[in-house]
Amino acid sequence: MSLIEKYSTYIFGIDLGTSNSAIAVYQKGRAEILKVDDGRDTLPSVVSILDAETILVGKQARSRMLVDPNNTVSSIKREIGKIGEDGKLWRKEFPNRPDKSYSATDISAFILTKLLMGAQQSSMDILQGTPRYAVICIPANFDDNQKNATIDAAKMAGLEVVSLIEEPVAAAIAYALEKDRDQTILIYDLGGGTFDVSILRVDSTGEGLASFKILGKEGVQKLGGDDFDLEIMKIAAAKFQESSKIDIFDLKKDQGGGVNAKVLREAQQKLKDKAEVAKRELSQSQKALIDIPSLLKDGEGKVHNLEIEIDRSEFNEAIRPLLLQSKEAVESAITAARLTIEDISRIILVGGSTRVPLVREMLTEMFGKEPYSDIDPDTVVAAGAASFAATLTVPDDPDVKPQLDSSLVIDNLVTLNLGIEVKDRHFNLIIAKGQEIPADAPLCMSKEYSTQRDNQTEIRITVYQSSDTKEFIYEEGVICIGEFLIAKIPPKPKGEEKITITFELDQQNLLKVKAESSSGVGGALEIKRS
Amino acid sequence: MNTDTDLSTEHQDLPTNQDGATQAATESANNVVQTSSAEAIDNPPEIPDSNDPSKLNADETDEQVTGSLSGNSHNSDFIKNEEFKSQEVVSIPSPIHLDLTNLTEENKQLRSEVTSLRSEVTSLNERLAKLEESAKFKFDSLVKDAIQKDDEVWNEDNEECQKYIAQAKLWHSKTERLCTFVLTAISDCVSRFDQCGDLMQAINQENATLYNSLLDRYKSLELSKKMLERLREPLDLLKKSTLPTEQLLRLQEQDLVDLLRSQTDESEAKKILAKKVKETGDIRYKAVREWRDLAEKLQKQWLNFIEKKLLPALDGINEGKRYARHLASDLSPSYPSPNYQDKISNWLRTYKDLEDILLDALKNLDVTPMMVELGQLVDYNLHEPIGIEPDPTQPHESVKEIIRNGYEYKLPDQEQSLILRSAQIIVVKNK
Repeated sequence: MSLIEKYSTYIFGIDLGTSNSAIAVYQKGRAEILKVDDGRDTLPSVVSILDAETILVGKQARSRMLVDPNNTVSSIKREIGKIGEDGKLWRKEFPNRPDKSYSATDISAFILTKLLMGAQQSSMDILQGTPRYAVICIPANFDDNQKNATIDAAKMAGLEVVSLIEEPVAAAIAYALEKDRDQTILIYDLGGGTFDVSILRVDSTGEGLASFKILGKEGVQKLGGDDFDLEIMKIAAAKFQESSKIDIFDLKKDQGGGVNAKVLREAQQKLKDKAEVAKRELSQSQKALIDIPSLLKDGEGKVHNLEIEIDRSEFNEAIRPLLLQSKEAVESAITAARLTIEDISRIILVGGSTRVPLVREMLTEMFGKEPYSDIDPDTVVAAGAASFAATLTVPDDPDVKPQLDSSLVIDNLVTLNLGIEVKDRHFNLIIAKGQEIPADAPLCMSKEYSTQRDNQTEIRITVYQSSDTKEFIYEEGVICIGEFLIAKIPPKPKGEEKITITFELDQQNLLKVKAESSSGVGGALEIKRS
Repeated sequence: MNTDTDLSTEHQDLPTNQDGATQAATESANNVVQTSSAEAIDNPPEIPDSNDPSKLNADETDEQVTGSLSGNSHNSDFIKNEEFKSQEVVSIPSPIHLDLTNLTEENKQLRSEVTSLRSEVTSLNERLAKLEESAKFKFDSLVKDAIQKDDEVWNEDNEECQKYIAQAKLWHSKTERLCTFVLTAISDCVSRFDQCGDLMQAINQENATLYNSLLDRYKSLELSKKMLERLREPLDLLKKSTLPTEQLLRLQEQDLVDLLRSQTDESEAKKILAKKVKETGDIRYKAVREWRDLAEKLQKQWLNFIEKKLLPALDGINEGKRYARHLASDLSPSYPSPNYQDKISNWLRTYKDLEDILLDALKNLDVTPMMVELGQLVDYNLHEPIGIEPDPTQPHESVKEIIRNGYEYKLPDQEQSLILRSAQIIVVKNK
């Protein structure tokens, strides 16, 4: 007798984040964040190959980063589906598994698997079966390769992706479903290491119908809340240096009569733990105390304590330059959306780092209104994805029933320029970035081309994308996303055979390319697997 | 609602007709009523209105009668069987047998109208009875189904809620214990700090060099004392947390009956009930969530207090003790007399005494230091590496040094300890 696996009839909402991931399900009138990784709401997106049998994922893997960085990977989302400078997809060989190499899709699949296992362990009574369907969040600027790689990672983890959803849209859904809204909103997403801003039009006033439309987006790579802790450490270290003459950040110099690097590293760690606590305290009150009795013992046997007070104003000054970068990105996004500050009705905060008061003060000053703070910025994206998932059905599975009695319509904009290579390696644009994809049908654009040579019987169609307008395909930022061959074209004089190329782009920003020649031969390419 | 009252009220509201012919008709009609009343004596409950002269007022139009009946129909559609019986008052009097020879043409006409009205009443009553019978039966069972469904979900929710209530109560009582034991420990520690302070005064008077050698250590202890004393205020706040009430919303049969009172369509009624059951379940589950969130909040608060507030003070004392390991021998050349060693030992014992007081308080809260052995392989679940060092004498990825103690806690009826804080270690790295 074989056992038949029982599948959960829920569609899960998954935030597969750069630093942390979360999973949620809509149940009994609300999106529930499922506990993962020892009862936490989020799982660090870190994977470490311990040995031939064991792979650590989450907090344990993050702990191992210091000990064994060669066998540990973090921020894999930056690599997924991305073609490197060498023209190849990211792959890594781990010394602890010399016999094989792993793609970013494989690594992401490990994270998803751990996320699902954690959710099952903590919430079996809710799920009532193995998770099978999911809506996965992706950044607003993911291209087709990145989307497909994400879908493949989910497949490897045993999940069928019912839909992908852009992170800001997920956050907007979590916000809009709380009450009836008809607004233009700005999603300010300050994560651990990246910053993204998106402007959306939301309308949830219709009976059982809500619509979402992205109007503009912008981002800053390598700007995140991790830098805030470092700023607090720097302030504390400077104050400590005033009294002790020891610079705990300078591991090279022999200080204080023989304070060695090991002692300083330990002191740094003690300070790091305290800086995290102080950052939270500074979000609640105007000052934070950093007390560390016996911080370090110098070479002369003198014991040094750290006993300082940090004002919020000091902290604000330290992080202001970082936040100004985000302010510029916000302004660019508003301009790109052809809007003004006054058009923005609400600012929604995403990411734990937005708890820092200066973020809120800066946005309040900028917009003349306080950001909305009724939703948990750490889990809002997963919660929004779960709410979106709760409105969906799975065509072949009648057991999956919508949990939410409303329809969500997501209008979208094309995020990248899409085109093909033509004569002299020119990039010929077919679908331009910023065009609107209708909610009920794919965006279809066709262009006619002709043969370059007499008696040409084959044509290679190579599809490219770029975030900016480019003239040639060899320019930086132009990426090849697929190609196909049209053969058996009847020999004719140059320019006589006409080829119509059609690009069809759907709501998920996934692309189908079709070519048809005047003599009836053609080909197709589907850069879409959802 | 009583139909009897309804009808009479309506009749009282009717305008009074002064026309003689009508009056005559009224009289005749009264006779009719009396006759029918007499004939119906065998079954009195069916004709409760027989003495009301306005009952068959000639001015009573079709519309008014119909209106009155539809009102009854409307209001009693979904009233349960028992209630319905008491309403069966719109009945048709027995067939009329009158001598019509002396009646005038006008009277005949009126009689004909009365007969026509009666026939209409009969037909309406039949329709009403059918409608009420079918609607009453179906909706009654629908309501029962809805109640049963809600009961099932209520039981599930209640079971889940009881689990959270138990957890919240557990953490509430643990918080009370935390306040009691830690406040006592702080007082004990402060006394011990003060003893050390007295000793410092004495040493200062006897030997300034020794005093100065101990001063930086003493300042560390003073800082730990301050850190502990600052905990009194948050502990007082923790003590004040209270628990909410334990009631879970349950669907009431009468609410559903009221909800369907104006409803005639079965599929619509089903939809309304399903929506109500879902809404009630969602509202009820909010209370379940509140308990769950409270349990989580109390647990987090308890863990956070120990990890982020109490343990850092203890870490400072541990660290001071570690740094003072060779202090006694380092200072011995400065002793003013050989027996001074006792005084210094007493001073140094401050670390151990403070540590014991705090560890004892933690033990009473089922919190114990994590056992980590040097040389054991790193367990990434329990240990947090903060540094690496080569050591060919030790296995790769083993514990080289413990920098900060880890702590575990136990819950009642659970064998396995849970991690309160991982141990920070230096790891051997030989590859």
